[in-house]
Amino acid sequence: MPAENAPPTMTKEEEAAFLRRRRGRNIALIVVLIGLVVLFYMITMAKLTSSGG
Amino acid sequence: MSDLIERGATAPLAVSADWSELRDWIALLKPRVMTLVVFTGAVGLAVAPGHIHPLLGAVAILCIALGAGAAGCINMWYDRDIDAVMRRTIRRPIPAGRIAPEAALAFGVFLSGFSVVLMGLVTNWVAGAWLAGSILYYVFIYTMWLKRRTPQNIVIGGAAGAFPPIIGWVAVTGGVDVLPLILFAIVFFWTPPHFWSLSLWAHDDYQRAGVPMLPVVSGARETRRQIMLYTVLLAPLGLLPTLLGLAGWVYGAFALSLGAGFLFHAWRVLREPQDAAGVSLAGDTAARAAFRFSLLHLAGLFTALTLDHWLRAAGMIH
Repeated sequence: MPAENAPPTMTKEEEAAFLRRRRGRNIALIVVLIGLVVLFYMITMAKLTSSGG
Repeated sequence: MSDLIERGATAPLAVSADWSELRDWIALLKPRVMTLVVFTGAVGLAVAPGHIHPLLGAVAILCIALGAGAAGCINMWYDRDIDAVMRRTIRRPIPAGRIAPEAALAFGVFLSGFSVVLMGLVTNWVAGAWLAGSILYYVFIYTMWLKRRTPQNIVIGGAAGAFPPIIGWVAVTGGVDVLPLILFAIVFFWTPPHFWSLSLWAHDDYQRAGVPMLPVVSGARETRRQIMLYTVLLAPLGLLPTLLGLAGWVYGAFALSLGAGFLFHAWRVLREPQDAAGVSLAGDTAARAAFRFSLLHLAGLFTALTLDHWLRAAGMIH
């Protein structure tokens, strides 16, 4: 018998949906981070090229 | 966590759980507004004298887009109370409960700083300062101060949307000149007839939210007059680059025909069959047509300017 003040719970389906969304956010974050690394590298190369370095 | 699923039990997560998806975070950046900003910013960059490395130019446009998105994000954080009562905005991530308000604010503030610093490092700090100014203007002057206080809110908000051509230009040249200021003025005077045409048939939401849009405060008849007034001011502004020798006849021909077209549509909005209050008796067909044409007008004008610039640079026209 759950207590009256027990925390709200998720069903199995809700939990699966929640984890799916969190995985999607994590993948997006790693893609953005890798994209930034590549972008900063390319910016550095472009700056060096355009300044004659 | 996976243990809980395997057990088939319920998990104590529901209230504080982050249910957002990637698309919610993208929605916070108002991608549709971003399209206009990217386009006009890119034109400012393309027609500026001088040279910028294509990649650095692309990053400058990315910074303009991110800066505008960040301002839109902070706007959504601030306006979450009125978004929750308007049909058009009730499904946005914050009122729908998918993103916490403070998370949206943090995201917007971080992106603002990131876009300004990146712009400064990649192009020049004058462009960074203009970008920062446009974000601050949109957030503090428009969103927090005037949007809910004056029926001229669209005019004031229009200035925020008019900054990108200047920022694009400054990213290349490091300074402001007459042409980017004219482009600013064109977007500034274009925005009111564009949005007021829309608001003539879609102002119920604003009324419910208590936002003083012109049709709500002054009525449809006055809105029709104001649309005409701003279009009359906009048409000669469009011709100014050619008249001042800053653009050629190709642009001039487009500006003349597009300006005349917009004037024709504004006239139709003014003269549309209407009741004593100015409410359309013809299903707002004229206002809908004017709204559609306004999109074509701005896109056509800026595309023609870029085309004209390239043709002149290639020596094909004078």
